[in-house]
Amino acid sequence: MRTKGQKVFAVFNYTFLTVISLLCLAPMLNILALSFSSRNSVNAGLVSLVPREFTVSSYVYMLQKSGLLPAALVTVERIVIGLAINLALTVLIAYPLSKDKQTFRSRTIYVGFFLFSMVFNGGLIPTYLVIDQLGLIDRIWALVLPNAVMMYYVLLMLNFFRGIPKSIEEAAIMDGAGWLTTLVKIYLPLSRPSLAAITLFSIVDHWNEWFDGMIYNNHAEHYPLMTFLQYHVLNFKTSDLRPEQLAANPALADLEGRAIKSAGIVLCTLPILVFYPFLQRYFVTGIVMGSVKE
Amino acid sequence: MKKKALSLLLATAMCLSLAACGTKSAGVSGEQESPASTTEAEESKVPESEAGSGDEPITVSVIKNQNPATVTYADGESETNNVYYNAYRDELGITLNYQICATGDEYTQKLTMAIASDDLPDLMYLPIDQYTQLAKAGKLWALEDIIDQYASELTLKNIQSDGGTMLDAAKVDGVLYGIPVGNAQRIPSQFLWIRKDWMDKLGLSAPENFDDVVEIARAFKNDDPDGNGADDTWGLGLSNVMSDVCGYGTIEGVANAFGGSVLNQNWVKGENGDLVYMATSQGTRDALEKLAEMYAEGLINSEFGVTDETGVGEAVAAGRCGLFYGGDGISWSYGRDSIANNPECGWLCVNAPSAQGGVADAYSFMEFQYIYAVNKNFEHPEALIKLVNFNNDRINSPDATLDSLAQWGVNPTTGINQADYTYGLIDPYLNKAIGYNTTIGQVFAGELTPEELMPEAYRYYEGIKRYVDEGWDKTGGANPDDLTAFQYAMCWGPQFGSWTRYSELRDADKIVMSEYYGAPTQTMIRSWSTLEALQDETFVKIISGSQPIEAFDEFVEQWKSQGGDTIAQELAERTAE
Amino acid sequence: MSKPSKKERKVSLAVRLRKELPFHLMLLPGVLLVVVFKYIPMAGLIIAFQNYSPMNGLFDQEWVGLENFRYIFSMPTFPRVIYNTLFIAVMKIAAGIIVPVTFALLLNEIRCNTYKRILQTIVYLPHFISWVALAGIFLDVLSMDGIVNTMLRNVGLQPIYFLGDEKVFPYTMVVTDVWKTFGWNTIVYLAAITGVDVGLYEAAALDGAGRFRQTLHVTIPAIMPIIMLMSILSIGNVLRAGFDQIFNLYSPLVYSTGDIIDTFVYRLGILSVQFSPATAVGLFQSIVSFVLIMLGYWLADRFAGYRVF
Repeated sequence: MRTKGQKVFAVFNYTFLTVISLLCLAPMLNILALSFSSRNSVNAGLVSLVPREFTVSSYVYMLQKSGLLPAALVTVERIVIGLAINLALTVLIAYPLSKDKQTFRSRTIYVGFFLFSMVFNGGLIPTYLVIDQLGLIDRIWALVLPNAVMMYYVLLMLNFFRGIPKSIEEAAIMDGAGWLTTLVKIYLPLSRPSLAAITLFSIVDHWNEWFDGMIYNNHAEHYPLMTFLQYHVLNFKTSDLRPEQLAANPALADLEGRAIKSAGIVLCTLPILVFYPFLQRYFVTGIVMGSVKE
Repeated sequence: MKKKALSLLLATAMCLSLAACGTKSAGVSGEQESPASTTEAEESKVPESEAGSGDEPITVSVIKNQNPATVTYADGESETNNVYYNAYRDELGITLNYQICATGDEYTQKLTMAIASDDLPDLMYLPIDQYTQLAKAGKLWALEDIIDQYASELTLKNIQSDGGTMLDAAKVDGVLYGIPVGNAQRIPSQFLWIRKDWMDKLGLSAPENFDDVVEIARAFKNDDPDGNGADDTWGLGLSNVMSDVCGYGTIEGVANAFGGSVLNQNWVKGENGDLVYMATSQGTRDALEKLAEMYAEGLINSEFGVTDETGVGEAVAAGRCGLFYGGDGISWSYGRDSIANNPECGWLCVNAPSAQGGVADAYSFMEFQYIYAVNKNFEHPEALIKLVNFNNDRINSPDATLDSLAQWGVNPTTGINQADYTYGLIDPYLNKAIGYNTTIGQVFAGELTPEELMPEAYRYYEGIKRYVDEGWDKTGGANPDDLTAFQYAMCWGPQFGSWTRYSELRDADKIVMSEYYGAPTQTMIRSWSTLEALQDETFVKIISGSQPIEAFDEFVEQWKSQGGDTIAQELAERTAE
Repeated sequence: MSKPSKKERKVSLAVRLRKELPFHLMLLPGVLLVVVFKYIPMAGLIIAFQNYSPMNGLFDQEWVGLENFRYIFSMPTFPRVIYNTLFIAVMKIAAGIIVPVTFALLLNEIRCNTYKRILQTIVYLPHFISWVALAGIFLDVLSMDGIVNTMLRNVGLQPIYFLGDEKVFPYTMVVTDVWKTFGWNTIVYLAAITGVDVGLYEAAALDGAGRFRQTLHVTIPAIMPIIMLMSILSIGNVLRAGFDQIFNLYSPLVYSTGDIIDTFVYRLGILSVQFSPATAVGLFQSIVSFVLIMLGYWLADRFAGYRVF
């Protein structure tokens, strides 16, 4: 059935898309290769997509000598607490707002209230002052509470709830169930794709956030993973050290090496990348149903 | 940022006394003047309370500019358990509480937040902007009387090792609110570094004037000095740093040759008494014109506009660049690498020659790094002075011995520099370095015996002696197995080291000091980054030939109208005060 | 209908309140957190109209009216910063629509579903990497010694200083941003394409249209509303050019073309300690963005019939 032109196009299309996706992968493969190569071959510029003089010494160094593991613990802590808070608040806010105006009179006021807070912000310093006043500096709560309400999640959830046929809910209400019961017993079980998508987003957001970790912590030992990566791996320069510091701790010189930095990058991103394909099926449905309305 | 390496090194590597270093410092201590203009302001009253003197322990919150990741502790020791921390607690009754410990932009950011939330620690280590702001807001103790009352002889000597200029410059509206850490004179970075082995090979001799430099550049570019048959060597190596101090590939030396300067700190009194920003002077214009000529001839690396100082440094290490103007610490960084990569390599360091012949005038300025200050709400401002006294006695004392230094300075068995644990270490390193360079020179001249050197200087001396004994001073090269010798020698060595060149400049009175120092003016804060960008951009364009030299005149006009004139006025008013 | 009496209204209000009370209670925790962490800090915006000195209370300051705004607009760098922000943001928005749409259209032509899924998985990947780590990757890959320039040299081309050359930098930002986001952004378009009525294709095929013309005349018009919608909704972003990305990738070398409002505010407020002017810039940005976002929502509602909330 296919014409010659279509065949040519198909070949071109397959090739083109394959090349594009490889271009997506190439930088990451390059970093992966660098991280497994010896310092010398990295510095000599011999490494492209395959490791040279294979070694895991960069990883051994990153795991043993740097503060990576403590920082990872901070990140895990913020994900556990942050995810729970994000999910609970998202559902609790999205549900009432998904009702129409007849059912929930004050809806418009709340929408305006949240919308305004999404667009306008007090800026870095006033926010810092509030967090400081609350005594949250150097504590994990400074990393989870300010962004406890994520409007993007709420929007997704809200649109998903609206897609659930009203008749189901009406039947439950008829049977005398309260709003909360309806939410928990009927809506939530139906919302698995959206909940999965939001779970993924929340984990990724908490995993990747770095700026708050730097601003709201005065001590480096409270830094989460990305802040640690930013300030103590990627921005680390041996020229900022004094020679006798280097003499005292020659391993510090390695920190500047591209191989070590690459290992740090891999360790700080791989967990999330390994994790995501398993959720892919859910979140695609979740996003699509939450954002595209028929 | 290799340029920092040396000054940082000197800042604490030399854990020794300046008093014993003789010559310079003796003169300095002689001209100690009592701090000027005592104010009768209330805030300068010394607190009566004697608490904190040992009997009544106090806890002091501090911020420290240090990357915690780079400080090493011996087994069982930590930030809150080490010789200094324990000694402060046990002997001074001062327990430190690190409110912030970070470095770089991170430090500035956390400090800013502390200022914004008015959550200032008791003792602070402040950049000049923040210091001035806090002082004006009445947040800091006036320290003059407190220093008078509590500072030890040695502390007074150290903080006034430059004759008190730094202290004077740190005054805000005539009152001293802090103890500055910095350089009374930034060592210039106009040294001309030349590959000696290439010169010898091509039969060239050390340059007498700038035309000779051009000659050398031409030969290095065209005559295949590395003999590999490929046209891969540079003439004069330039970086794109056109307004700042730069360790590798600055154009400052060229500007100096024609009587100009490009450094953004340099404001010099002109003929009619006005302050002139040297980058807008005729000398700078002449230098740019010459550089453009050289670029057109191919004598400058064609990609210099996108090459930073690291790029030039790497070309030096790789043996592509053998002629460049730069700083004093070359032998510690890429210069050392160049020898590691190529044992034939050797270096010659000379002061920038002027266009007319002879050594060109160099330009320098007073450099503030940080200032120690005390929170006005803190009841024991003398705690800072006590800490400074304590550190001085351990590290800068003339009575220091190798044993005491091992206990308080670099531990010879672990190699850990325990001076990292100090709070409030004031190190008059400029004068110490000058002292080392001078005394080591005197040993080589037979005026002193090696035993008369300070232990630390003796270590450098040994390295330099190996360098001389093995005859490397003739070739500028080094024993590849003993690069440390090269490192010390090309820095503090007699006759050939960069600090000897610096001494020559000083002795010949060839260093012009900037009239501007300290806090930036109002318009500087607002416009300086633009003016600097304008300078960088214009100079690169002129040298690379994409704009004619007339663009310089336009630049001067724009520079003046976009804030330059106002700044000159502000500075004039300030110096008049 | 007769007007309800006062009493009736009171009763119905009470009934309504009782009925809606659970909603209010559900919203309460979220509202409290938003008040504390978003609305209270907004009070801090008044320092844009003060000569703020942290040493005194927020209300115990010297009021200067619009002086800070006058000051920032008189700063020679500021127009450049605005221009950079607009330039980078607009290019990102344009590329952020064109590339994913094209990719979705091409991907739709892939018949083998497994392969399609593999491709999707790969192109979604970069979305999950933070800009901190990506900056680490790009700083290496795009450096003078990085793999890209090594390849350029190998084929005899001049190396490009992607992150240090002020002429190239903005484009590097756009390309790396597209690299990170395009895969993810195809999700919505793919869904829209899948939703196109099959009957339309069949009708077009009967008229003798090939795949290409079907795409041109059926698919694109069918997904046009969603393309329009996405464009409209991104209007609010024209003053936000991506702080995370640029902060982690820029350097003083490229301030002239790469400094955007957010990085400028950071340096002004945090590194130069000019709280009031920095807040003024931030307020200016917020107000303009707010107006643009509202405009976008209004347009979306008006022309695409899409209500964001």
